[in-house]
Amino acid sequence: MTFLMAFNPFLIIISLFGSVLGIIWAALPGLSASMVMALLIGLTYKMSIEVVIAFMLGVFTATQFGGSISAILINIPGTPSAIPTQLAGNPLAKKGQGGLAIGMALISSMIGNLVGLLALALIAPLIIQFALKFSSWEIGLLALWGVAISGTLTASDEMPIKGWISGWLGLIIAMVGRDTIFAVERLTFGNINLENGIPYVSVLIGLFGMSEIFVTLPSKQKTGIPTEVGKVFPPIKMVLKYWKSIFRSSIIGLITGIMPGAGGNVGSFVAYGVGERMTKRRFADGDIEGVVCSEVANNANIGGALLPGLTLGIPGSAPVASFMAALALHGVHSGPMIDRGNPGILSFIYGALFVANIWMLVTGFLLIKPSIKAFSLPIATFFPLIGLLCIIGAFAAQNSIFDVYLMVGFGFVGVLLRKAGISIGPMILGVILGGLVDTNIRRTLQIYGNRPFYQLLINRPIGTALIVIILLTFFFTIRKNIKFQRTFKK
Amino acid sequence: MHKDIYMALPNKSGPVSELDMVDDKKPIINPKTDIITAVTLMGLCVYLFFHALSLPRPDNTWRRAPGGMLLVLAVTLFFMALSLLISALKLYKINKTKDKNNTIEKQQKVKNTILTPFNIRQIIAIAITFFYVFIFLERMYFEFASILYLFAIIKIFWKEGTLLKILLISILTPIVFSIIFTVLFNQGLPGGSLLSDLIFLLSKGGA
Repeated sequence: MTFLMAFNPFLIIISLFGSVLGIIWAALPGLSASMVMALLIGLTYKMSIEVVIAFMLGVFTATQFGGSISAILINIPGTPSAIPTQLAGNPLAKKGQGGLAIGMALISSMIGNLVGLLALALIAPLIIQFALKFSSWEIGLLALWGVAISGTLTASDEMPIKGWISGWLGLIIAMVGRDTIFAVERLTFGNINLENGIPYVSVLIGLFGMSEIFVTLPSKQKTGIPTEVGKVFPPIKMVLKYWKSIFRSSIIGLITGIMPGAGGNVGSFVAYGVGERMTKRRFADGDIEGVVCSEVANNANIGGALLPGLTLGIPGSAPVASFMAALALHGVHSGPMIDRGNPGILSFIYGALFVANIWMLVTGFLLIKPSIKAFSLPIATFFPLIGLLCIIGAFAAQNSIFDVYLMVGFGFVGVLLRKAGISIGPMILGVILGGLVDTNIRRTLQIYGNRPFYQLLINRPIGTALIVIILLTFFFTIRKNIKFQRTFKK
Repeated sequence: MHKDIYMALPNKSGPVSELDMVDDKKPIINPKTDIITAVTLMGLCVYLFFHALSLPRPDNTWRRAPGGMLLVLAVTLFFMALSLLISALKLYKINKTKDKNNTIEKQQKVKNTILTPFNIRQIIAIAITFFYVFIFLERMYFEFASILYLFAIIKIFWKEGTLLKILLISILTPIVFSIIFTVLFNQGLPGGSLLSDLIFLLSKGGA
């Protein structure tokens, strides 16, 4: 695979389909990027790896922008990351500048994407060089830190410990099945279907797809009547005027993307907040700059989230976790060895991202007006259809009805977790990284035999640094928890 | 960060993340829910602890024992659940002192939070899906099972929909999906596909 292969006419058309699907999907209220990416894992199983990459990146890129259409025009964010865009953009729509706000959101999304892509292409080789020095000890600890930091970042401010609980439950789910060293059955309850473990495709689709249906379908959500769009293309002067916000938000989006679990939502919120402080203006009264901050960060996040996902095997966000899962189903395992096992795949991914970005811009402008029609669709008509897709997607990975049972079961678990205020994301990371944690840490301890543990700490300084980082992550989160309780008491 | 962001997220006091899918319809600070969650988790941890102990240890050491990691996870999760329980009990105590309602009102309140119209609709949606997956797909072709499922769920949740529209969506969607996945993608469907069986029979008849 090469960079130029992404410009193959067939793959360009596939990417176009992905973009169209992504924009329409994200424009529909309640349908998130995480959901569509989880669904596509199973549905793209029979496709070739090139088609999967082109299609999924087309969808992923477009969904990051698509959520802003409904956010600006009908005051309902298509995706959670579009909430800041909604705050700054909807008042503009009420003033008749909705089209302009969407146009700026689209241009900002494209710029954010390009920054993310550039960072990915420049930094990924450096991280890979560094990560190649990792032994099983460091890989295991890094995976554990990924789950821990994801728990910290995604938990609510009230109970940060809930994020860890979610991650730990994911790690426990990953223990199900025969262990990789002695082939001893763990938590299989004598069920032959569980001997190979719980497939993460079922977990992903269940937690992100099915549980979303169980939560949104009964909610009686109704969409409003779309407002007039007006002028869509923003003047270049306007784009150049916000260069400071674009630069600042790109960096914020990139950094939050790299942090495991943080994802586009955190990026767009932080960029919006920082933007308000820097400009000393209230974006919620309707401000193009607020839209710019939110959308640039949201999209710079894609490259950022792909960076640790592709180079270290630790996904930066839920959609990237799904993308990695889809790659794994096609025999491409993310991590430092990705480019050695599949020469040129990283370059191809950069190319596919670039093509997806161009399509997002083109289809974005073309689909703004037609996608408004989708707002009039009642949720009760299209959510059950997505339910069918969830079932087909879960079945497709292994042609197993047991996987469908698992998926529906995890959908139910997702509902319970949401009711308990426990975020789902860390659990997904736990399920994906659990095998890495278990096998690598045990393997290292086996190699070290009966030697004292401090020798391991001295001989593997990177591992020791990771242990310190993990402990610090726990320390700061516990401190945050104690602080909250004190505030609540007052 | 601006307070309007918090206003847009009714039950959160901080930014949501891509991975954070907490239900907006339920308050996050709910000590009772946390107490139930913590106790359930502690029970799970006790089970996992004994399961890990029961697993064989080929070298008579825990270093690389198959249950080693599970044991560590069970113990640490237990302490996390315990911490959640303590926090929830403290919050519950604070809430209780603030709450001056009489017992009858409290009972009514509890009843109202469990049997809300939203929760009832949610239980119906889950029950229909479970019926579809565990009973219909076991006994029927994908197309027939899906038609029944779609009809039931759309009829219940789409109050404004006419019978004709609901029937059209319910019948056409499984057929379209069946064509796309079996004919175009050569992909099997749960419960088996009537369409692919028909194609197989016709091709056999032709041969």
